[in-house]
Amino acid sequence: MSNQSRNGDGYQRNPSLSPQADGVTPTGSASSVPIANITQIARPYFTSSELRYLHNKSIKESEKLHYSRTKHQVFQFCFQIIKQLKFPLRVLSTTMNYYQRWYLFNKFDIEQHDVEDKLTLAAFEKDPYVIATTCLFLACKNEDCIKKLKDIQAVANKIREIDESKYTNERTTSSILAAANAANNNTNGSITTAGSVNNAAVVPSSSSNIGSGIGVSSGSSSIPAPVYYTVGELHRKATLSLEFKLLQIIKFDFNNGGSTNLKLTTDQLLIQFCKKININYKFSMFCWLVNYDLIPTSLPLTVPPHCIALAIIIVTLNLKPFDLKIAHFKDVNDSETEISEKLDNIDSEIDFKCPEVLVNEAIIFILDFYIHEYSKSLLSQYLPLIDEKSGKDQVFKFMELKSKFNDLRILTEKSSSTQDLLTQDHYLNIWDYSIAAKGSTRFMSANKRRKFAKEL
Amino acid sequence: MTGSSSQFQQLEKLGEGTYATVYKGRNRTTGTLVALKEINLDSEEGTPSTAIREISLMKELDHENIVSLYDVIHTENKLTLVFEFMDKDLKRYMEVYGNQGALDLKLVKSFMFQLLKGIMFCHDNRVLHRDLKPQNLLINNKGELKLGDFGLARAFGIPFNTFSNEVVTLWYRAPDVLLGSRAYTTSIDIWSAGCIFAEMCTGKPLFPGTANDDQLIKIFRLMGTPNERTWPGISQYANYKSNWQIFVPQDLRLIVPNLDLMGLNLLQSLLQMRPEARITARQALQHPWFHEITQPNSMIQQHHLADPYQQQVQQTADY
Repeated sequence: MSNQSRNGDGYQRNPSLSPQADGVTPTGSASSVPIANITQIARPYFTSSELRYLHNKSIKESEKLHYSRTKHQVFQFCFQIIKQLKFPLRVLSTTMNYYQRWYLFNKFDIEQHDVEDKLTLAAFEKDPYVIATTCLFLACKNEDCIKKLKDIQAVANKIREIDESKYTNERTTSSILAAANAANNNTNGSITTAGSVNNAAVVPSSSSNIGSGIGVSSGSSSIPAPVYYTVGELHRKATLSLEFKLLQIIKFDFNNGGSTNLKLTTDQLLIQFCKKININYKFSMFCWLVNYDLIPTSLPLTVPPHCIALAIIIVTLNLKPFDLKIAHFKDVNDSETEISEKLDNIDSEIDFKCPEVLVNEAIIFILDFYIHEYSKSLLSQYLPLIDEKSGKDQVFKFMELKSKFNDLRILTEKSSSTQDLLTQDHYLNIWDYSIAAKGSTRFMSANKRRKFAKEL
Repeated sequence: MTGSSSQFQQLEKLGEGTYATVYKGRNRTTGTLVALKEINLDSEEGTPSTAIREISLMKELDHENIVSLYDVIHTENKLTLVFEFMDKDLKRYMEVYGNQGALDLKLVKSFMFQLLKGIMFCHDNRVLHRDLKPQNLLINNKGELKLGDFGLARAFGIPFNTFSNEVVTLWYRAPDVLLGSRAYTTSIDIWSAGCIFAEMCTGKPLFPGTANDDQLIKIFRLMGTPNERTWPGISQYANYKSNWQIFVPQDLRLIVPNLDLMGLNLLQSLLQMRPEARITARQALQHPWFHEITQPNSMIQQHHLADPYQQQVQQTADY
């Protein structure tokens, strides 16, 4: 398996396959029963051909459009949650990174069940919104913005207009839980003992123990079903189960691909870089808008954050968006020569420790993105329809710039472009959770692998 | 980790924390000893954020004075962190090998140097440990000291909200934190290092406070009660009181009589009341007290440690 080192130089692709480090292998332990056991080192980045290969496994051809539409809805949904909880933007970036990573190794599988069917644990665990909430929950923990799960869930379900106190079709497995719920609900002083599940004491009141103020549930709560989970409870159960799975999917690599400085996201780096290059407010704002547009794209899965940040700045300085509409702050526009000077003085490798080929990769990605999606972008809301200088649609500016950059050297993908190599790479399989459940999965730290040289 | 399926054999229990149980373990393939930290999952909140913080920071910090996190293992619905094995924590080490807890000054110097190197590495990587205390400093039988337990550590940088003021164990907590500061920086780890320094010399905790106020008073009794003149801005702190009992600063020599003057100077620089006045880890490492380590050629080599484990080193496999 290849691995990317996360040292100061950032990003190295090691095309050599070292089968010992990957793949399902029986343990060589003394016990005679071979048990599945997998060892991996996180690979934070994938080439676009790897991404295509992974998506071909996880998303049916007919579902591709549905997947990308859902992804954008989920992005809006997560943005709403983050706004309401007053979280910084980096939580959103991390959430979307996890969400996209999830669907590299899990099947995108949302078949249309009827409503009744949907209220089961299995259905919850496949629901992209529940998966997204889980990603957000883990992102909060990782980004040091701790909020209780029930609070996050309450906000999420309110946005989706879901009544958490409603009963689901999932039976609680243990009567103790039902009793505990009753106790939590404070409906009744007497707590049922384990076993006496159908006791009247466990009929909850209209108030759910999750997310107060949801109000009286309509109709459904009239079904006396004390042994069923409520939506809120089932949501929590699904989230905790999904979180455990998600940890395997991100391979316990919490640094989101690991920048040299501990886990800085693109928006944080962008601000630092803009300061360093002395980019004025308007252009910095443009950069920030571009970054926002890129959060739900696959670019963060391909290129590390510092290279994305620098690419955004380079694109901005090339486009010279003097006509960006910002009302709340006026500053003096730099002259054309000043801008060119700033552009010429950027040394990506020395000043920013960004491998040039990765910055180029990001530049091309950004231009392609706007050429195809400009009308749907946030950026388009801040630019006039027609570019003043050329008299053409804004999108032509991106096309023009792309033709200028035609000969940029980008990732050659030699290491992984052949189908043959991709199929040999066990890392790129749909993740098998039963390995962890029955055997063990082991996630090693790339920069400490040498300490296990004897073992590998 | 209990099953034979695992790559690691679980040996005896080493300790139990709030969110984890630690066992000694052995790698079945290489025979290497490890510490296995089994994480207790919370039924309401899932994986503890402390575990996530610890994994995320320690995977990144690769330094000889920081305990290595090798792997994370996911098995049978359990989460286990595999750390490098260390023989003892500093607290236990002092109990066993100290003279009523007090360590030989040469050993103190070596441990302080390593402690400060570990701290400097954390700070250079924008990480605050926030919970330095003898129990979190681990010693192996080569006389190496490493920082462990990063459950309360956090990356500093652009803070989202102010830090909680309930972090550092009381005895090693800096006065600015005790006063209610929530904007603290690397200087809080330096204060803790100063307290640990004195404790290694004397065998007794320097400021064994029982509560927040008691902790402050214990500090004032030795360092003097601060006022606006000695510490401009102190009256702005949330826990500032105008009616504190007035103490005059004591001579540290009386508290740590066995420490030489150079060492006392370093101790004094670490234990500055005002956070801005505290020395940084980098500066501390350049302090003349460490010259026999940093500039061994300028003197007779005399820092060969009187290591009580010399024989054991021979027996233990290199790891």
